[in-house]
Amino acid sequence: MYTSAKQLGIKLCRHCKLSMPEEQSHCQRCHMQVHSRIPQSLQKCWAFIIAATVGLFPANLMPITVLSTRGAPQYETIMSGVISLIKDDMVGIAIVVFVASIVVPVMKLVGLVVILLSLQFNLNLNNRQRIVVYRIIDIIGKWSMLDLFVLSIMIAVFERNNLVGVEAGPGATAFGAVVLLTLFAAKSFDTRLIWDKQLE
Amino acid sequence: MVTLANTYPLLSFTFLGIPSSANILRGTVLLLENGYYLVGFSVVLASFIAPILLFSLICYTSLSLSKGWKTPFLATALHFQDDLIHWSMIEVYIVSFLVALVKLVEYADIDLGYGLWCICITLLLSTHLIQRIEPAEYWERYVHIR
Repeated sequence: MYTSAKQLGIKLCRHCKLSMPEEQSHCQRCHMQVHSRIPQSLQKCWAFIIAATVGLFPANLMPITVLSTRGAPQYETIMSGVISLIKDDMVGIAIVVFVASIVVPVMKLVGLVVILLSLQFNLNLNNRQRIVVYRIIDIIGKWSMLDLFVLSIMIAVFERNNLVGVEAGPGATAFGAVVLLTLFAAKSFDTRLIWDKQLE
Repeated sequence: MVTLANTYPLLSFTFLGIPSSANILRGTVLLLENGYYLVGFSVVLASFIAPILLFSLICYTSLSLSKGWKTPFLATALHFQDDLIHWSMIEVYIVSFLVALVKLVEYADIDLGYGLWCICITLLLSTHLIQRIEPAEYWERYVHIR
C-alpha cells in the first residue's frame, strides 16, 4: 500500500508542481488557485463526453466536404471519403483517415466512459488498466485534428481552380466540435481519482 | 537547453510554400470567410498560432531566466507555455499534408514547395525541444530572480 499526498495534508500545484500544505488556497510560487483534486472532475468529464457523443452524429452523417466539379456538387461525409479512397486503391491512406477521424474519437469516448463507470461502480478494472487506457486517450487525442487539416489544405489548393472547387460542409463544424470536446473531456479528468479509489 | 530554445524561431516560418502556391493560412482564411469559424479557428490555432507563440514564449522565458532579468508577465508567460505544448500539433499537420498529397495526385502533377522542408525541420526541432523542456526547472529559476 502507499500513501497519497492528500492523506498527508499536502497538495500539488498543477501549474508549477510545487507542493504545499492543504490549507493554502493559492500557490506561493505562481499565484494560481490550487485544488487537491480537480473540482467536480467527474461531472465535467461526463458533460464533455455527452456533448461530444451528441456531436458525433452530425459529424458523421452530414457532409464534411463539398466537391464541386463541372456538374452537380458532390457531398462527402467522412465515411464516404474513406470508401472512395479504398476504391482508388489507396488503402493505406484510407486506413490513416479512418483511424484518425472515426476510430480515435469513438475510442476516446468509449475509453473515458469505461474509466468513469469503473470508478463509479467499482467494476473490476485494476488501476494499471485504467491508467493505461487514460494514457492512450491522452496520446491519440490530437490525431483527430487530421481531417480538419486535410480539409483546409484541400481548400487552399483548389482555391484558384476553375474545374474543381472544394468547400467545407456542415459536418466539418460538428466534427471540429467533437474533437475539441473530447480533448476537454480528457483534460478535465483527474487521474488521481483512480488512486483515491484504491485508498478508500 | 536555453541555447537550443534560442536558435529556434529562425525556422518556424514554415507556412510559405505549400504546392500550387497554397498555404495553410490561406485555407483557414477561406474557411473563416465561409463562416466555418470553429473549424478555421481550431486549425489555425493548432497549426500556426500555438507553435509560433510557444516558441516565442520559450525564447522569452529562457532568455529572461538565464540572464536573471525581471521581465514583465513572466509568470503568465510560463503558464501559457505549459498549456500551449498540448495545442501545438505540427506532427499531425505533416501527416495531414501527406494524406492531402495522395488525394491530389489524381488531379495534377505536384511540385513540393520548400515550405514542406521547413515544416519537417520545425517538427524535428520542436519534438526535440518539447522533450527537453522541464517546466519545474523554469519555475525554480523564476523563484530565484523574483
